[in-house]
Amino acid sequence: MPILEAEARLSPRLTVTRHRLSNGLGVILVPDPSAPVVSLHTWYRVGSSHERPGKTGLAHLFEHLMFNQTANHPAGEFDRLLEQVGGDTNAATWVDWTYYRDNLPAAALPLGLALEADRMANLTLTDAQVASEKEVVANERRQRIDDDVDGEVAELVWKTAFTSHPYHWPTIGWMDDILGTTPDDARAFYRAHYAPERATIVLAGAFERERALAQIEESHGKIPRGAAPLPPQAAPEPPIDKPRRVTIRRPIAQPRGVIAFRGVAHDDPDWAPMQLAIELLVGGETSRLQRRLVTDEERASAVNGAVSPTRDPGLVELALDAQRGHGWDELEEIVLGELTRIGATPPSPGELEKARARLETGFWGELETADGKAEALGHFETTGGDFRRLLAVAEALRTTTAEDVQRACARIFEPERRAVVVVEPDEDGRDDRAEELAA
Amino acid sequence: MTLILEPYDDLPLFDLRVVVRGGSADDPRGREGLAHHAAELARRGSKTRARAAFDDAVDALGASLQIESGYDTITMTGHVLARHADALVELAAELLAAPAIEADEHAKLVRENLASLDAMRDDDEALAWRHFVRAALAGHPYGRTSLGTEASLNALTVADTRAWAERTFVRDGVLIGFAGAFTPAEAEGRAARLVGALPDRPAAPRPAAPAAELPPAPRIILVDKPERTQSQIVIGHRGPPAAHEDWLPIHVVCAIFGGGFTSRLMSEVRVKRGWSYGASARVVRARETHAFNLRVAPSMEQTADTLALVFAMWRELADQGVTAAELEFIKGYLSGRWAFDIDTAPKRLDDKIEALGLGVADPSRLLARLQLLTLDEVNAALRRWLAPDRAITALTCTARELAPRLEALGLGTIEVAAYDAY
Repeated sequence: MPILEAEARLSPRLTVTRHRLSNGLGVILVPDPSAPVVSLHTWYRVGSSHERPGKTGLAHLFEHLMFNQTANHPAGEFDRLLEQVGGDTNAATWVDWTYYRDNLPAAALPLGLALEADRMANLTLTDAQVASEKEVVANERRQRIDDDVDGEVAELVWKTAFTSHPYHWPTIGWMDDILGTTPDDARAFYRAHYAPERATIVLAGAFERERALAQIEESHGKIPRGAAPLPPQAAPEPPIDKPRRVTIRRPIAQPRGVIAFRGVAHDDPDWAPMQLAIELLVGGETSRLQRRLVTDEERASAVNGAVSPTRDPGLVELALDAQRGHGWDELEEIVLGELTRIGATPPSPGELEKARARLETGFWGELETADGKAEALGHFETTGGDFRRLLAVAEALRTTTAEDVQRACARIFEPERRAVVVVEPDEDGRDDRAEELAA
Repeated sequence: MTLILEPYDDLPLFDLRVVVRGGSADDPRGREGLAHHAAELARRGSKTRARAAFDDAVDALGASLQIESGYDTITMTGHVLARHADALVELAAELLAAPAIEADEHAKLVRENLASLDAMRDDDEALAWRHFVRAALAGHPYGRTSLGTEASLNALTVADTRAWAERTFVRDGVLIGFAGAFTPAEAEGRAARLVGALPDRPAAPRPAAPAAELPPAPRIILVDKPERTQSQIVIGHRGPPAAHEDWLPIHVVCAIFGGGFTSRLMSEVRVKRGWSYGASARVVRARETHAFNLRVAPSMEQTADTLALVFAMWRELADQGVTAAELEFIKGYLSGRWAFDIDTAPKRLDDKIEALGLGVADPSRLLARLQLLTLDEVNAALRRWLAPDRAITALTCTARELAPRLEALGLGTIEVAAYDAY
């Protein structure tokens, strides 16, 4: 039987356990009988940061290919069997991971486990399937990036802020790389990365713990180890030594952009302070930048922010849309002033408590569904190495002081170390992209 | 007052809903966007607490509190840690009793909504949908924009908004719902507090409107935007209202044609050809006649071929119907998926509220009817409602590249609309 490795209490009635099969597969279980459903996630510790230049987008393209045929099931059978019982299946890839999720009626758990085990070990790929899926991903890229100005900005920010680290390229890949992927690339990627010792199953919902463990042992226990070594961890990206700025023109009405700073890794002690900092800068109606820029002075129509939850230090980003009659430069100046202030003076107790309360509400809200529980636990296990980091972060959010927030902000928000991407309205109707590429 | 309770105390959360009659379908002509605007304005402080102080009080709880407009209802939604539930209910009651509706906030919100129009124009799919709905539901209030237009937003007055709030926030017909961690006694007290805050006036009658009809001839609307690499396409026409006996059969048809990864559209457009990332069919669940619609998003180069394929498939569906095997498959798919519509207490609450608002059967009875649906019923409904030769097709694209190729397909009269003109 699988070995019990760890146990933690999510709430008074929800206990999470982690087990390990002899082939190295991790299993995280959180039984919750409140609805007759289960969410079955399979997280693989491979993402776009494990690719190399010229082969970008492979992890994501491969994620699409995992829905094709296996030695035991013809193409289309995976989706057909799960949809027949009302299952909903999808997947996601980012820089550090790829995960597959099957949300199933509880009675369909054995079917989901059998199908996931089968495609972990027995996927087969035809050249025609790879060719067709490349077109799908190319269209996904057009939809999410090339014809979506926010997607394009997000891509440019990471491209600008990182120059040598793999976080430089987008998870969906550059278009030429997507179209240049060969069937052999995909097969080699599968052999290298899809093996039990590189995966964690996370199961949340209506099931009985011991029975589920036995079912997983039966479905996955005989899959042999076999992953190739991961590429060596990328060297740390040198700091940004002077501000980097990219300006593009697109058919939009008002200027918009993102100001980004290199952030903190997911396991950095400043992770929780930065979460609180972003919350009190842009979270809710009364956050500093929302109130000043959107509500009081009406210089911006929207402000948002995020700290990327990545294995290596990622980005802390602040996104702003200018209100009619206002330009980008005034927004950037005010934001930089506010960032300097928060790095120099600790937030007030009331401000900090407000941010803490909002984050606590959000924390529990993300855990409402079985799928939400599985995603949160799988993410922390895969990115941070231990699902219990989820609870440690929650505790850190409770104990972080105003001085912690100030110190983290002083460390991260150095104006000289920012990367900025700005989109200005382009009203001439010409396609500027060809000129930008040529430049 | 109707009270719906969905207790669940494994997580320390509390959700509230207050639903009153009204919505963007009631917006007067020339005042499109009124309900959307007024609902948000009613959230911006009470007569006893200005916006800034009110927002401070909500944020101090770590809560969210919104008032949003649908087509036919106005819904206040609150979400908070269970230990702060009473405090949030007090704030909600304060707003319901006496929203501030101040002139300076009104003017500010008009400017914000104009910015939202700008943002909507950056979203190619939303643009295609906006033009599709206007054409497919012409003559019905659902066909008018709920966000408003440049002209209608500038025409709104603070007096319009105050009058709207007075006729909308009334006790008559109010529905209250709670989900999460609470006791029966707490629920009773909170419901009484919220109902007691509302003036005891009758709700305004719902204005009558003629149902949307099929267009006399097919139309293709090119929403012209520079620099597109892809077309965002919505195709369709009017569909049955949620309470109509044909709504469920048409929903079934949509699931078979474009509901999941194994649907006909997904198989042919995405899996076999790779022409679009998404390919779907839906019938909107609304109180009155809304839209049956198909969506795809091919590259500019593949747009004409994709449209030709989708129309050929749609005509085949309309002519030959669905098969018995497809119907049996989709019954399992839809009944299994229903579990995920109700897998949390807030979702169970919203599911019941939606059914009441639409005047449709309890969701569990809908499921029972699904199991009894026959192939003849489904195909008869399909023949009554699907009309591919009288479709509206709206595409956000760069028009000059596509117009000649689409002309050659003969799928309808081609019109071109500037992306920033509506």
